[in-house]
Amino acid sequence: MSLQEWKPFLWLIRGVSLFVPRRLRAEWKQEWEAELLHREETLTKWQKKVVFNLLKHSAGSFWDAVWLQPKRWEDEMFQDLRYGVRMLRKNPGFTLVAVLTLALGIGANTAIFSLINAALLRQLPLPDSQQLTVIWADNPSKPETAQLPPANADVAAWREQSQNFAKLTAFTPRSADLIDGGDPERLGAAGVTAGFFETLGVTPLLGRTLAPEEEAQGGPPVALISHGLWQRRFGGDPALLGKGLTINGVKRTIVGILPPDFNFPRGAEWPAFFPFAGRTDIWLPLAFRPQDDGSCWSNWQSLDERSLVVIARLKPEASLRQAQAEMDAFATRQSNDHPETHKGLRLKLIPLREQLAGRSRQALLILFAAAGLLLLIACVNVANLLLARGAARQQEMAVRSALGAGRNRLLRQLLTECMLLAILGCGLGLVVAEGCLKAFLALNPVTYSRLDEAALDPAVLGFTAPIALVTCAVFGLIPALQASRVDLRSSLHEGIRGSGGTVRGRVRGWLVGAEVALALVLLAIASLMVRSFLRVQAVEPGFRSDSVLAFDLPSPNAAQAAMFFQQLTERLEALPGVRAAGAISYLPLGGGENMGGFTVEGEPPVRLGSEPSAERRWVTPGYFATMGVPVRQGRVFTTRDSADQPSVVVINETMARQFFSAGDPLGRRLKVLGAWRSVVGVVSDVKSASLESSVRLQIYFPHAQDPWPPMTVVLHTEGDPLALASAVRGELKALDASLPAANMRTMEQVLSGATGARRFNMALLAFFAAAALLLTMVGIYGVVAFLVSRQSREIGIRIALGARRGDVLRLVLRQGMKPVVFGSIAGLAGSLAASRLVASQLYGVSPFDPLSLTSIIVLLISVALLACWLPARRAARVDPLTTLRYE
Amino acid sequence: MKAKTSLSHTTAVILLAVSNDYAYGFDIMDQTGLPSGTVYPALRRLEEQGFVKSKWERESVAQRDARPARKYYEVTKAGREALSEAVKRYRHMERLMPQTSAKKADPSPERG
Repeated sequence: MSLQEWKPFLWLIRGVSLFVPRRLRAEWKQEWEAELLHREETLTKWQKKVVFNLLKHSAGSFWDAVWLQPKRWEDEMFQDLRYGVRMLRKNPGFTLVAVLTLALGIGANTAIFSLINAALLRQLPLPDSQQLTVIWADNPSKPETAQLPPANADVAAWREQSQNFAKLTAFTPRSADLIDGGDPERLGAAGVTAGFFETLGVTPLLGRTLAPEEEAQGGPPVALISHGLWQRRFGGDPALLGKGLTINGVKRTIVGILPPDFNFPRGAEWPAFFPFAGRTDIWLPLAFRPQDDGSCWSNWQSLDERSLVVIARLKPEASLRQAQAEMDAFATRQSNDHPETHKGLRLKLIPLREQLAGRSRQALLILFAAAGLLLLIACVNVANLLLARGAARQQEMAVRSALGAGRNRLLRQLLTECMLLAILGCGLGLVVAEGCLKAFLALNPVTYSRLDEAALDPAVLGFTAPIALVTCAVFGLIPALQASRVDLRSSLHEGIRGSGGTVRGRVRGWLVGAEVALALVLLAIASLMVRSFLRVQAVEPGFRSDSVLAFDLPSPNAAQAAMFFQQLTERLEALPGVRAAGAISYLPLGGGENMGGFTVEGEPPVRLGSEPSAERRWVTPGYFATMGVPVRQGRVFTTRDSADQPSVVVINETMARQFFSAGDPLGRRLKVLGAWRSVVGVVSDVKSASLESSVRLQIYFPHAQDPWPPMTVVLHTEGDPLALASAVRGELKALDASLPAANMRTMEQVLSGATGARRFNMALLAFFAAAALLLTMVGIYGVVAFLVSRQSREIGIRIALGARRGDVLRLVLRQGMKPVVFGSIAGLAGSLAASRLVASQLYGVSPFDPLSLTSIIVLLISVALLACWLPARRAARVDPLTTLRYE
Repeated sequence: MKAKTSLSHTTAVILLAVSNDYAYGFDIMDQTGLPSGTVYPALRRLEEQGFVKSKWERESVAQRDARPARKYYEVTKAGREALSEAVKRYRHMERLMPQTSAKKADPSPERG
């Protein structure tokens, strides 16, 4: 054959065309061949040079083919997608179960991650918030002093001379009674130093922040208000700026209005002895004036007054470690220079974000782990479904393989179907997540701060999407590898329908076992948390919780306070439906506390820094009767315990036992708050900080002898306490129209709030455990049902040869329960390990509680038996004639 | 409406050739002096962008010459707009190719 006849340029085109996507190949070849042949015609002389010329042109086709490569993937990818959608639509049951399973796992995880993102991960809405740190003191030898405020004098020193802090601010809780713009209202407030907003990096929406002279004693009375208060009570009127508002009886000029999202400090984020409100609406200068709010804060020189929360902003070049070293040196100096107030105390810096997240961290991480287990169970379920389906599609794979599809092509097709399931599961999962998040937030206890900011935002979606894709890639891979491994001879041979192969059957069994093990771990943790919650609910608080109404009142000025509360309680007791009335400074379990040291007369002096401390509460005479606190010895306060009478106190049983076990505490004296006071009575212990913590030493003072703090009034009613709310407000208004009754609530609500965090954790864990149990049941049912369908011929033969229905039932149950039993054993080991990790969250229940473990194993086995029994019953009813005829 | 284009110089030259009725790939190569490995990918890009459209010549013509039908390219309205932008940018471009009046006077009877 001559060169002219051979046409090497055409052969080159044919060779390059193999690289062109199949869909475009025919036209591409035609275009090139047509041009080359036309060019060959137009050339007048056939020469080697012509051939070379045409070869040169045809070589360029290679770059054309390279340019078309992306079209290859697009083309086959769309083919895979179209086919995948068709396959999923053809099996609606499988698709629905798989998508719902994935949606549940992904949705639960996304919802929990939203909570974690809001509480733990997201930066605070403050500029450079990682530079902000809180300064606490503590005494390592006294665990109850974990977060003590630093001394006022220390704070003053740091403001002047710190090397590592660019700015430093201090603040303290206040309440603000506002009468302008509407009914008298008590609002959450904070007393802050002049640099408060600058330290946090917040700029007012309108106006300015506090000036240094406004912080000083005798400075001009000013205030800043929140955006919410400005809108709600004053209609967002910009003319409010510069106007005066009467706050706590003092006319204050409003100098600034804060931005809409600013709500700092918030009550739940700080220790109980800083009872900030849930929402701060007013910021006042931290002026140490005795007449301001009736408080008794002294001054910046006080070494033993510890009443301030301190936040410092580190200098850009300073690190937390350097600042901590500076504080360590300062604490050592103060301990040596002022042992009477600073002995044994050290200072520690905690990043602000960690401070604000503190209480919720461990609980949220446990919930996150639980949600992760649920997702794993969902993945295992889907993997099992895919495996079963893969076995059922063996013939289809065989035909496609016989028609030329390589293993990679089959694998890609199956993984595309997995991705489609992942996308659908992810999409529905977001809907589930939205619903879960709403439900979780409805349960949110106020003690978990920042959770109310949780929402599905792009950061959360950035977590969900990879989870969905990884889920399906990993758990679709094994089934895809199994399904794409085609044995043409056996798969194409009609009539052979086994259980899908020994290896596949074993893998499915392992997956069921893994599912059961994971579900058991989740059930174990949930069970322990439920039992802990029930134990906490059963704790006796030490006071009456039903039929008690409580509301907060500010303190009128000290001279009138005692008379005011006496008159108020008399008027309230005279109301129909009220059995008794009293008042207390810090309601038990209501947040807020006042701790202080004391000395017992006649006892040897105690080493500095090791003095005992007790909770201090101020009460009116009717308080103990109203709250149903039994008197164990002596008496409680009466109206005769007034300011001009000898100072007396009442103590609790624990204190009596600890300090007066040798004799009678009545008549003994304690030195507390700088004065000697006689013990006149012993009352029963009362749970004050929480139901779970042990009772502390408690000292009660008669309000009339020291009428300084704001009080909470309590009423024992005959019926529904809230039904008396308006009557109570009426009596209060009649006595003093300027005093608002704030935060009206029942003691049952207070008690419920005290267990809010535990209830939240328990409810979520119970939800995850229930979902895990459901998924496991569906998984086991699916596998056993599949086994039965694949073994129908074998079962028919057995029945035809004389096997009884009961034998068939036992056979199927045995096959189905075998992996469940092995999974339960593995799960038991896992449960014991996991229970140790949550031991700190338990109350009154051992992590290895045999009752809990036994009950969940029994529950799981029962559920598994039910899941196996349903298809087993179907198998036992197989008609051998029908089955064998069909085969 | 102004067409937003960012045609490279090479692509603009090829588009200009097509607009000058050099419709077939190899003719474009001859006129522009560019190799086939440049011209064809550029034609694909122009077609994707909607600046040219491709058609097959009449089957009868191809059968008469005992060869496969050839593919030819025409400039679209969007292509003309993109070209006018490119000509303004690359002011010397038109001088790179001979005038097309002779070509246009003898339109190919082959195209469908």
